[in-house]
Amino acid sequence: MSTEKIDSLLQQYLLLLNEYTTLRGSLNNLQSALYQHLARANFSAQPGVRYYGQDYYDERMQATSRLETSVSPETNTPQFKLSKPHTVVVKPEPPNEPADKANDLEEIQQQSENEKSKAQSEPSPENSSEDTVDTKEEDNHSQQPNEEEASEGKDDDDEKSKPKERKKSNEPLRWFGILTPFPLRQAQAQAKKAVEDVIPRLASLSEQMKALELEVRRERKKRAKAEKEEARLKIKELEDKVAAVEV
Amino acid sequence: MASQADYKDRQFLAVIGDEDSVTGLLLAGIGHVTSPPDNQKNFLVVDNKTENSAIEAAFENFTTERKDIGIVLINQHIADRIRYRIDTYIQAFPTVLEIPSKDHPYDPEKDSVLRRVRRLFGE
Repeated sequence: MSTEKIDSLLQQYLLLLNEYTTLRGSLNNLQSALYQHLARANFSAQPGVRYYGQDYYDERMQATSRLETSVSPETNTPQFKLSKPHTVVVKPEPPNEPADKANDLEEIQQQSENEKSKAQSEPSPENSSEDTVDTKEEDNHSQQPNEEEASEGKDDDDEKSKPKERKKSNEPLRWFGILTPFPLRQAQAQAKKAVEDVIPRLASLSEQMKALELEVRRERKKRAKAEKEEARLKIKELEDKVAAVEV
Repeated sequence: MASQADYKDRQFLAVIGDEDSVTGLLLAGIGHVTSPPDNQKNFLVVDNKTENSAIEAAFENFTTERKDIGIVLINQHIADRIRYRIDTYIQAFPTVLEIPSKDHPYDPEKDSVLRRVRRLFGE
């Protein structure tokens, strides 16, 4: 019975092994293509670039692709998956600012209105008509800059409120300059395929195989124990028979 | 077998390899440097001058000290330099995977997974 179980476990194991070797083949192909592209990129390196390598790595790099690790409920082994790269969008202004700006504008308008009303209330009846005209003119002059300021403020506000969402560049290609050679981009494509599709699966397979190996070993031990026990019983039976004959 | 705390934070891949291998994998966007003052990298570029002790220290760091790494990739010819360490590695996390390099194509004879397979059937 345990032999059958071991056989079925080994069958599962061989299926995993088959997938493992197939994936190994594709990883080999991807890696060799990657090295070829890198070599071509270095061959046609831009002036000033010595070698596309560690001299250009960004010391503050952040991973764009991250692992999602889980434990499979069926086999109780770790499973890895790479989450697709996500772009980080950085908004230059915090959400409170536009409201503050609007408040500022209102304040400016209020101030100018206050000044207007003050100016209107200021001229006393004792002043001559000429004086009142002068003050009004002055007021007009003094108001204009206010309005200009206000309108300028509006323009600024419009510009700033435009969606100025800057994409924070986590793109590793940028480490090597703005115009990167085509082979380097091809190398990146190969590396992405390897990292996204092949490597997490290979790691998961390796863990599944490890768990199966343990199980097979355990079953083999059990079988060996059972066989030993069986043999011991048989010997005992024979000894009893011999004893009976001798008597 | 593995508790949830053991694996849920393991979101990075680590690389120990020659310059081209590391460059290639970093291009895929897996490179990460932790925020200061630690500034811990998840990769090590190995050349002819790199001491075996430095490789072993990096391996130790990625597999034992750091709790945010799920898979450690290592060039096979570099794994050979610390083979005893790789072969005796039995932890569930992180998983260690050997990868080929430019000058050293993948050799199934040396791959630790396939060595395990042979051990299983050779018994």
